[in-house]
Amino acid sequence: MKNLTAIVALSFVFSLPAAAQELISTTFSSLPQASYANPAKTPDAKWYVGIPGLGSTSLSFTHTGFAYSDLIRKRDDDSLMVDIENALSQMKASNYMSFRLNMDLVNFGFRVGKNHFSFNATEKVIYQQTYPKDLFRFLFKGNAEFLGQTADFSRINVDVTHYREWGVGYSRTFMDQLTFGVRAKYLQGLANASTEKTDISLYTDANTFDLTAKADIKANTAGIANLIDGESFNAGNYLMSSANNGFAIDLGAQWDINENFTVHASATDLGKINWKNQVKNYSTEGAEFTFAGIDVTEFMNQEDSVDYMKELVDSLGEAFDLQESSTAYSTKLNPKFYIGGTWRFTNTSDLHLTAYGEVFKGKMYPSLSASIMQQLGNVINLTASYSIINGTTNNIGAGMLFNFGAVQWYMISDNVMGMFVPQHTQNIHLRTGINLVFGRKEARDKGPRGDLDGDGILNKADKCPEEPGQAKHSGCPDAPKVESKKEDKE
Amino acid sequence: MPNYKTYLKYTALAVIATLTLNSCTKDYFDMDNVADGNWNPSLAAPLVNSSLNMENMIAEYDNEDLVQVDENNFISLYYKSKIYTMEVGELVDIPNQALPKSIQLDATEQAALITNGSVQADRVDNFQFDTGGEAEITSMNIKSGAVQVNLSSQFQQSGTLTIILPKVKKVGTPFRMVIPLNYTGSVPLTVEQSAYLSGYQMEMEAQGGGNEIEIQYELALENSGNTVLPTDAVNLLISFNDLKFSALFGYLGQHNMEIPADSIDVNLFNNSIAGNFTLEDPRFNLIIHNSFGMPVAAEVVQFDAISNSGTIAFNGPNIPGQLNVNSPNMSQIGESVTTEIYLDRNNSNIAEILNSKPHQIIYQMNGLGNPNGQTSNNFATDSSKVDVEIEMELPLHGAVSNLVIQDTLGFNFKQDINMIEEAMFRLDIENGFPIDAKVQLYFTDAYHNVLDSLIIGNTSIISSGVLGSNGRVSQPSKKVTDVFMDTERIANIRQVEKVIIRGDLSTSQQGSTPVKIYSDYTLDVRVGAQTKLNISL
Repeated sequence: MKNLTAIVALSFVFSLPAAAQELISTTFSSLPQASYANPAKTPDAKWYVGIPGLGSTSLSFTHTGFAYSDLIRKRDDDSLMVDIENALSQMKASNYMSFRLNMDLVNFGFRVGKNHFSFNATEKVIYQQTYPKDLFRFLFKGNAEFLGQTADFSRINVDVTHYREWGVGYSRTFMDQLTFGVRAKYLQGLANASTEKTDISLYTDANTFDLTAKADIKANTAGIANLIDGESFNAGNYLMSSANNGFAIDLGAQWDINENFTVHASATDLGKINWKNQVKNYSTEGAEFTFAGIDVTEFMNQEDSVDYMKELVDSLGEAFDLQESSTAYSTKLNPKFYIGGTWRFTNTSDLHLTAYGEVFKGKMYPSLSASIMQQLGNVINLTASYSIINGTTNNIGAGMLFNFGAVQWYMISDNVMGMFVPQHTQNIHLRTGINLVFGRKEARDKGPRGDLDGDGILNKADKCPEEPGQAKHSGCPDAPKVESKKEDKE
Repeated sequence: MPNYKTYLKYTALAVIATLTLNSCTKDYFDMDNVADGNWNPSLAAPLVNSSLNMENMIAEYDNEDLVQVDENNFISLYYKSKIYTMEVGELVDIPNQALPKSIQLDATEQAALITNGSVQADRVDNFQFDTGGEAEITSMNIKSGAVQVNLSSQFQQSGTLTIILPKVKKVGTPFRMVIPLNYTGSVPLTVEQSAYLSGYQMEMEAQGGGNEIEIQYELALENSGNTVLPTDAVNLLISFNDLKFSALFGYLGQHNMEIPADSIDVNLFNNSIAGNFTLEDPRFNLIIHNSFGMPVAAEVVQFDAISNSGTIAFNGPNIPGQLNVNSPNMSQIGESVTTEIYLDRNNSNIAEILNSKPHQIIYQMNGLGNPNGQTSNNFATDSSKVDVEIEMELPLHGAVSNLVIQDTLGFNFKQDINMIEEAMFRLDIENGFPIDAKVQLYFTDAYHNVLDSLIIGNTSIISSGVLGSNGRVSQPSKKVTDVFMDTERIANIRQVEKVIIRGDLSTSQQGSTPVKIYSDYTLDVRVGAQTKLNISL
């Protein structure tokens, strides 16, 4: 029983799903992967390339239902106990779980004037599920909890997808302040198993305890029919499959209001995948079965009581018989929305505020994050954050980015607590990778924190950033021309 | 200028904190540390959903009896049992039989053969036909069978032997068999010849002991020039084989028909142990079906009802006593006529017998065919028989008062039920019968010591349906009873070896008002259970 308990408990924290927030990756201005959250965000480098296979690997888990320690609790004597009641009390009516693994196979980008181009090929594996609290109330507390009520399992949604993203990004800065970015993504669908409709319910009559089960289910799989049928699996064919095509787009914008404030907004993963290869659909429509007890007269009339029970089971099987077909279908990516702002309150410190929302099966899962970025010289960048993710409030994030010359190594987590005290957390996220970044100095010199003309006045305060000047003239050799004109007019 | 010392200090603190947290984390995931926890689901499920009518209930323990329903859905229980059958084969069974005959020529006939070149010698016999018993048959319609002739001739002449049965006719033509005697140079000449008799009517003379038939022989010979010896003869054997009749007439003789003492079981009251049971119109019928054209006298020697309280003899017309059994007349050949004795509460003690709730009826009868000897002509067909049946018809119109019925069932529930912390059984009963019922289940050990009962106190849980002005139930009564069982009571269940189901039934007004039971009355029983489990994790 303990093993079973462990499996159940662990499954809810680790094998279950989550959201791939990029809440603090955007805080590093030199990190190319920041553009995944907003294609208008481009690294302050002339060009970059991710180490193939190592450029960026992101892993995330999220479970909004409860934390491991809500289910497995410590007693005063340090022994552990399974506290189902407590876990249930933490659940919401509908709960979301996800697991995601994103790995850049290839990524690179370069700047041409005010234009920035990027390319990425990223392997993505996503498992997402929603489940209703009723399901676990039913499983752990029994159907007597639902006397006279309908236990509604209709919010059970499952989506497991493996696809490869081929993205081409472009961004351009207008008037030195406004940057728009777009990333067009071809999606190479490899495998999917997802529910399209799961209207499942069980009604328990309050007086007679009659059980009425209803099911209206549609589920699809693609790319794995051979696996389901037990045929041999050819990994090469699987990974190279190009029959399931999709398209998505990321849009983003960033407005540098002044040298200290920037706001940004983006919408990513707006698209879908059409599944055509090895498709299988399973459905029941309007299935309903009521069990009102054994009819003793029927039971006695049967020559063999086993026959009666067999008939009963057969009736149940017929009522919920899954129909099988092979019709192409499509699944949407989870659209993600970011909006936020940055306040550069010192030359080396930024404060970031980001609101994030992700939509799965029509429901928005919001997060909010505040982070502070500290630049330590030219090599080290550190960031720390506090986030409210899907209603959980114990998310302390951290990140570090090192620029050893052109070699950039970074590690970011929206919730470091998840790695050290996973039993208490419901969100775990880690992104790490190695990039080769070139032209950072030039780009940095041109950036607000650079000193392009070398006059000792940072660009963001330099009215004449390309012309050495004096502090008393705000970095200009003489009084700023604009001001002179104004003075002339006056 | 960044303060690296400060960063290092914070980093060290973070590492220490992380290691501390990690040690705590490991404890959380060490499943060996999981002490026993509990899982307490509550389950509710329907168990039984049955709509029982009287037919179901009767069939539950007596599937041999018939439930009869009239056009108004009124129910009668109908017991019927054939207690005696005598078929025609037991009365008349014609055996195979044969008649030997030897025909010689007398001197005159020998001279005529030699002188005239041919001769015909005629002979006649009366054959005493064996009917296999006392029957004296005057006529018999033959359904099947054959006559066979085996002969041996010493004559060295050719000719024919014709056998004629003048009283055995088919469409008015007597039976005639011509047997050729073809001499071929050696003697004896042997011939075997047969003919079927199906469709023939055989007339017999009843004189001289009866059952006689005439047989005529015509021996015709042609002189072949060979020697004619005085000892030359035709020796023959006429056999009647496998004769079956479709009808026969005459006197069938006196026959005893003994119905030895035997019994039939009445299961209706098997489970009743106390109380009063009164039916308004019970009937007991003794029916004799007779298709022999023969008078039969019967005598009821014994007809007793056995109950737990003793033996009560039936008392009514002809019981005990003799009765003449009706028989078909000549215009009713092939038909069966019945002789019936009806006992009801007006002419017998059947009400008393039923109130004793009998479980067995013992009977013994005698019968005699042609009790007065040969005073009339009898007949029988190949399907004639005498059947004696008894019927008990119990229209369910009556009253019961505190009729206690009880049944004991074996019970074995040794499974691990420790996980059941408490249980509630909900009995939802809609009674469409005009009968109040108190139902109780007793849980006992192997020695019938009561360990527990399902319902605390003998609460009346099923009230009678509401009777309308027409005497029918107009509205069923509904009763929901929740029976709670705690851990202790559930633990007792494991000791239970037997379950005694006891019902105490009374019709309206404590059994003082007779009611009728209709087939559309139902007892709708629903049983659901709600259990709370305590499962250790």
